[in-house]
Amino acid sequence: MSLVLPALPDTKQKAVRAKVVREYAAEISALRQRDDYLPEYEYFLEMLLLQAEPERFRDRFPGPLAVMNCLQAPPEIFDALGMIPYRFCANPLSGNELSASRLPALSCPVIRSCLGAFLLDDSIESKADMVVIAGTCDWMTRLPEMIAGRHRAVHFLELPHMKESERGCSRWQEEILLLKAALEKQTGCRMTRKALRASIERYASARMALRSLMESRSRREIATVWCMVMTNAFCMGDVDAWTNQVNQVVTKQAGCQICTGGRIFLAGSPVMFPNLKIPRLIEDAGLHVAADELCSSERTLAGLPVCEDDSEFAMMQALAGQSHQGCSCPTYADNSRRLDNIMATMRQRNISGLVLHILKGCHPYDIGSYEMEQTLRGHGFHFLRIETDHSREDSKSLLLRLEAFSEILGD
Amino acid sequence: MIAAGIDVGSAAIKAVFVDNGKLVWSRCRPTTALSADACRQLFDEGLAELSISEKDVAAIATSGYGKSLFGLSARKVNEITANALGAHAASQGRARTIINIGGQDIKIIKLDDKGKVVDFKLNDKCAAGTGRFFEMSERILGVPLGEFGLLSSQSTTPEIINSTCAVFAETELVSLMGSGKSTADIIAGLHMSIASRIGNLSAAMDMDDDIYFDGGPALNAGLLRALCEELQRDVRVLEKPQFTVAYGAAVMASVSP
Repeated sequence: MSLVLPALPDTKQKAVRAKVVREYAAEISALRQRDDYLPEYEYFLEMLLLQAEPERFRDRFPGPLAVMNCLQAPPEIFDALGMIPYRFCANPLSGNELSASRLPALSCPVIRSCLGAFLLDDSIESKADMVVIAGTCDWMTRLPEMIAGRHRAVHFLELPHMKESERGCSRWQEEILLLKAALEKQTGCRMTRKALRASIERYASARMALRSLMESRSRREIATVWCMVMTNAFCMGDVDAWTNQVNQVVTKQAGCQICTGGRIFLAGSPVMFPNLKIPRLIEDAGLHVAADELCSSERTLAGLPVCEDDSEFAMMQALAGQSHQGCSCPTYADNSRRLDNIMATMRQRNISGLVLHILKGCHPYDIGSYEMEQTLRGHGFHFLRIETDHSREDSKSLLLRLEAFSEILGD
Repeated sequence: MIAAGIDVGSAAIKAVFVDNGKLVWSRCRPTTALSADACRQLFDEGLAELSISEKDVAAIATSGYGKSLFGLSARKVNEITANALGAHAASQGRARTIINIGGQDIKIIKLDDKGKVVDFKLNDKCAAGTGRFFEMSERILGVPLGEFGLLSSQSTTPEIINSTCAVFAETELVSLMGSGKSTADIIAGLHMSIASRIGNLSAAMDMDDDIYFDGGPALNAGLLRALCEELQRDVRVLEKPQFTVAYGAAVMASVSP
């Protein structure tokens, strides 16, 4: 039987809530003061601000809410059952304060922040109708137990760590069908083929918008930081509005080359709002992210699901296959295509250097960093590994590395 | 053409003047909360001792963690870049790898025949084995840093120092002293421990020959010996190794003011 985490005192909860709100407000204020701010970005900032204001979020999105840590749980399935899918991997530093005493000192900052959010009574995570957690790493695998007793409906997705094998694919398809059943039980609704089809089409538009956004960033029309803001605001309530706003920004910026500096590929741990330290420092060092593999950015949505026919089963199979085989997360044991794809993208987008961002304790990315470095160097690419956490204390030291890397690329 | 370079580091501020690329004046002082004033004082001392005025200085560049603190500097140079340029100039173009120990980090830099950085590695965000660690050791052992090299050469059985962490090593040093171990053996052990840390950092780097060691701790002959033994390579020390970064900044200012 799991240990039920004791509730935190009200005074502590209020103090941390206030800090979270301040953290979000400060970041959003700084973004609004940038020279390249556009009124079109306001939608994304508003969405992100809602992360820190659960009451307003629920007023705006009053439907049944399911929070999830990873988009390998296809948002289309939630949407087809009338649930609002919400990705909870937000990274406020203040959330770490609540979980610090309950986790090892060297634990991943993302899990600290996520657990902190679940420990707050008044957070979107705690107010959700359902929590879906994919076992993407050891930390996330332990999260359901850590929040046991604090949340009434937690569904765990057992992620097979082999994705290229038939066994791995069929196990994941089974997991996705179990997820559908759990969501149906939670909502009391049966999924219809028509609703699933409509959701797949809705998210297909989002995928196309994301693709346009990435191409626009590669053409230097959208800054690294703004691109992170926009992708971070995905899966936060209203996918149609997100798609529409992204398309508006891309259209407005078409032909405006506003970003300069050395083009880099950003790999590694996710960058999640309000922790924009790394993209900011990248810009400060005179670099531009022309492509990335972050699950919080370019990898937010993989390619389009390919359905063999219009049956519900075929659509579910396509979603499972797309979310599983289309994912290049290093949590998989058979992931050799990841490096090949990264290098192919670097060649296509004329990128000569890769920055590997490792959040201390993010083991899946860290373990493979040596292999990645050797492989990339062997193919003539420049490589820089930076290790950090959510604190700001190492900013100068990171900037030193990034500036030097920028000068290497400049030659 | 006269140019000035100031390296505003975490432990010390180093200032140099160069005349047509040649180092003609250098001085350093500890970093304090009033770094901007210290930069100005050093700059003024250089002007006075060289019998020149501010107008005679064609360009000023700063480097180091506090490079933005000196208002007169028109050019801020990344310290890895400045280190490479300074070592290149000071070694007459021979340096291909630099090992630098600064106040709060350790750097290994590879450079090409023009002094451009090709690759680099830095330690994690921790002061283990850096200049701060030496300052702590000096205080605990009660031996001036300038005597570390000579004392360590008298060691017969270097102690094993398990931690180069500026916090944990303090306890370890106090414990070793309390158990009557000789200061020479403790210092020799410290050098071996730091050399091992540098060896680990360099393990993933294919370091080219013509390795130079710079930064203040490079003045410590005992550490140099330990480093050569650890790496099993010839490591040379530049003249005035603590001024390499400032020198590189001045060279950069001279080339493109």
